[in-house]
Amino acid sequence: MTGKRRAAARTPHVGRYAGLFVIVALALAAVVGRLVYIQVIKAPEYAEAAEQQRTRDVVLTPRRGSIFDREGEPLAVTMDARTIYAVPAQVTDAQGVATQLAETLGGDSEDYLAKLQKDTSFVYIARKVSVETADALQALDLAGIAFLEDSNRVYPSNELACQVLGFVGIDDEGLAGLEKYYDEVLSGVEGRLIAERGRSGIPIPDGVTFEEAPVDGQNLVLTIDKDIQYQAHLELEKTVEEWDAKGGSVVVMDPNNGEILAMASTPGFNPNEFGDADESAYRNTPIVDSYEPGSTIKSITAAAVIEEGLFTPTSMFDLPSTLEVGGRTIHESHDRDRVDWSLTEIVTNSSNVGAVKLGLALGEQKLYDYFSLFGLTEKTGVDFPGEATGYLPTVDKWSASSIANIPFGQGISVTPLQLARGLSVIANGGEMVTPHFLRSMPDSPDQELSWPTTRAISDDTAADMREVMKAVVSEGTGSAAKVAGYEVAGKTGTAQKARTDGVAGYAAGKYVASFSGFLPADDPAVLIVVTVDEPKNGYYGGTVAAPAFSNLASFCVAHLKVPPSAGMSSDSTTVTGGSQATAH
Amino acid sequence: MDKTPYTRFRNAVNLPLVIWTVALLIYGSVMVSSATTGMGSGMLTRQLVGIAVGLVPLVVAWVLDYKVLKHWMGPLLVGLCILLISPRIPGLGYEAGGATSWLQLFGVRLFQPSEPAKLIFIAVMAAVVSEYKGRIDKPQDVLRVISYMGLALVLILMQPDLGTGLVFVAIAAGMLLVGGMKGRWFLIFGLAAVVAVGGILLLDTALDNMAGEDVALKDYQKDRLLVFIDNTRDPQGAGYNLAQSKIAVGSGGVSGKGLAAGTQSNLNFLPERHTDFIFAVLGEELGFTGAVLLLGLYLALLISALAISTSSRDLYGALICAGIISMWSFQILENIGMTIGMMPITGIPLPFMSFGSSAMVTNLGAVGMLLSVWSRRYGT
Repeated sequence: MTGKRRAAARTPHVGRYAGLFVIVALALAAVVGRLVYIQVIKAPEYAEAAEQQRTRDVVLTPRRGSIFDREGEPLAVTMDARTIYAVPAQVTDAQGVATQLAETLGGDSEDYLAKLQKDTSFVYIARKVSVETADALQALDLAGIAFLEDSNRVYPSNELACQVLGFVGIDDEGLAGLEKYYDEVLSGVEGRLIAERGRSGIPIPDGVTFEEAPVDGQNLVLTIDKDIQYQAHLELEKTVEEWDAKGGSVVVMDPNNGEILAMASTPGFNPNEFGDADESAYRNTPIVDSYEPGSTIKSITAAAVIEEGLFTPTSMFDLPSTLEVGGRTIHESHDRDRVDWSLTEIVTNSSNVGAVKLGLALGEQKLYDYFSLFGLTEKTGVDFPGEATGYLPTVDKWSASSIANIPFGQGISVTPLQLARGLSVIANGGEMVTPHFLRSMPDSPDQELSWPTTRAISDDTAADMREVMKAVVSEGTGSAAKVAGYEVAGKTGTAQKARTDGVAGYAAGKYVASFSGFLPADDPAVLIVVTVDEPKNGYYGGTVAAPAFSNLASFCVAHLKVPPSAGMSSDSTTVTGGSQATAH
Repeated sequence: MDKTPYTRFRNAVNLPLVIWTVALLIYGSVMVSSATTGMGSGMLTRQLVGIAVGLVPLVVAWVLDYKVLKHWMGPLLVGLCILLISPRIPGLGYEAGGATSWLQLFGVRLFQPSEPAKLIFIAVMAAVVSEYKGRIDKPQDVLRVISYMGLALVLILMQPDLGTGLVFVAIAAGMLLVGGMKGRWFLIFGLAAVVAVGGILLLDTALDNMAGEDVALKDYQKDRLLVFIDNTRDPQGAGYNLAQSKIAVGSGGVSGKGLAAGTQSNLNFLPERHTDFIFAVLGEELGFTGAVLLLGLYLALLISALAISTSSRDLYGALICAGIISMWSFQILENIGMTIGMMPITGIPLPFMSFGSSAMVTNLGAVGMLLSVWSRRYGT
């Protein structure tokens, strides 16, 4: 016992070592266990984290394609620009830098200061700044301020064709109009650069592991003619102002192939500063908005009865001053006595009673079928986003009085472009065309652009209708649409607007005045639809819209060097519709 | 007694200890070389010079009979205090990472005094503890022994260097365990420590709030402790080191990415990669295999040190060995533990592996002390 005690006094009991050893060994075992967890079980996750941390995916932005008019005039181009950002941690004198930023870039230095003091590694100071401004700022050599190559979408003609072209967002993505519709073609293909980087974020020189060059976007050539577009814009603005209208639109189209030469609507906006405009100004109304077309439709009703072989332009009709159909009394817009009018005279005088008689002769289903044939129940297929279809109910949804107003364009709605397309059938000899903006893609010469055409009515019917519509201008309601030296065919339209307050019926004093026509009447080169929304000092299409049509049409034929109609002098004297007699 | 040269050699040299030490030195040099790729040449050379310089205290301690230290209590205690206070003397300290733990003279950074102080502390503690002949139970005895540790701890915390302070606590704990302090005292002091740490954190936070500035414990020290509790606290700040070292170690997988091929370490994501976080480099480049190899070497080293401790002919020698074992064990566990998220982050180097001469010289001096105990196990 004593021996053991003395031994213990000299050297420690072995249990003490065992305690120390066990503690250390257990701790080491725990470390190994932890290593198994991190390096074996969780290894794939950590490997992934390491990979993500050291590689940086740099997107190489392609240059967006430009948009040109048919003559090669630029409508939308991409300019070099710079984007300015800050690395707040590297900014040494935030107050001073903020002041200098405000001086160079404009804006409030307080806003810049707030950005510079953000707890982040990257903050945008200003995006898409001009190269000159960026260079001036770069010359100041401010710590923590850096620059990126960028590009800026510029519309050199400002508000010209603004609703057609649309605009792009901050990342050059098409947000509206053709910029949106052709975004994929215009924007090109992004390239990628995967670079290894260190903690500071700077790519390591030899660390590039993958590079894919960007493919620049393609240029587009449009069917738009900038000069005609400009003239359309001017005429529309003038008309809207003259009649104190709410707005209006113009479509200029080649009726033979559907190429849209101009499309304007008002109010407009400057796409370079689209953010400042009211969103309603973005609407390309001839495509995205529909309206009740009114009398213009009579020309399609007339074409239908001729195509059906029911009547000829000279067929005579006994027209009472009013007509009762399905419990509804049809009035003319100008009261008249009972008359005997030919089919041509029904159209030229824009007789509602006459149109209803034609509709009744045709029958509900046939009327609907012909309106469909003229494209009023479908989208035109134009290359533009957000096209509207208008409204024409199927026959089973018609009321007893539908046949008493649809034949003269009430109770239905169409877009101006649908109307332009429908009238093109008459203008071009019976073919249904597909309206379009894209003329060619010079960067893809092999790409075939196809704009389908289908036959709607016979060439003869179309020719008959051209004569009828000529008479509208030469001796009917559309005389203000005359163009010196050219025979014009057209049709006026005066439609009441439906009430928007939820009550059925028409809004008092609110009209859409329109004129739709083409010239030269016998071999049309240009088809124009002018609509004026809520004119205040008058409302007849022949009074409000026809003069604008006349001015624009005469500009178009001069600009396009269309030969004058045979036998027409260049003064405004017109030949009477003598050819009517020869029609069958 | 007739001694052949071989038995004389066996008596003087503990072969396993030497072998494991040399193996660790080689392993460490390879890792320092790999971790300092791209830092310019000279880092490995500096490490090798540190090893060479360390051979001096190794040989001195080996030749010196450890028993004489027992009688140098006074001078050793004074030396310990001077070493620990010296960095706080104006003009002598060099501040790095928020702590003034370097000694510098005439602008030349010399060494970290707290490193050699560990060995002196071991010698002092061994002398004090051995007085009680393996049984420490009376409260006054416990208090006396603990007060030596308390003195050293207070001086270190003045630098302030929390990590090194913990090393001193670990050394004392190991020596008290072997030196015969009763288990209940460990329990009492353990609980007291937990309560104290919690109380200090709360108190310091309250002080900071009252003073409106960072007083007493530095915020980064508190953050390190708190990050250990919740390591998603601030991944770019205090948690950044931990997150990065875990990614490095974890992405190494079983077999590693190869020497000098560690992407995380060489791309500067990993902070302090050749010093405190060298294990993360090893884990990334040599994987689980390399890590287990290192742990195996350490275990072998500790076992041979334990063998020397049990072979000691007196309690004093055994306690010196126990102090060294405790010091290494704690540093190994704390350093590797912090790299893999098991322990709070402190600036404690990994023995024989981390770049840095102060620690290297100290550790080689410790090897010399072990050999001194070993070679005198049969009496001199």
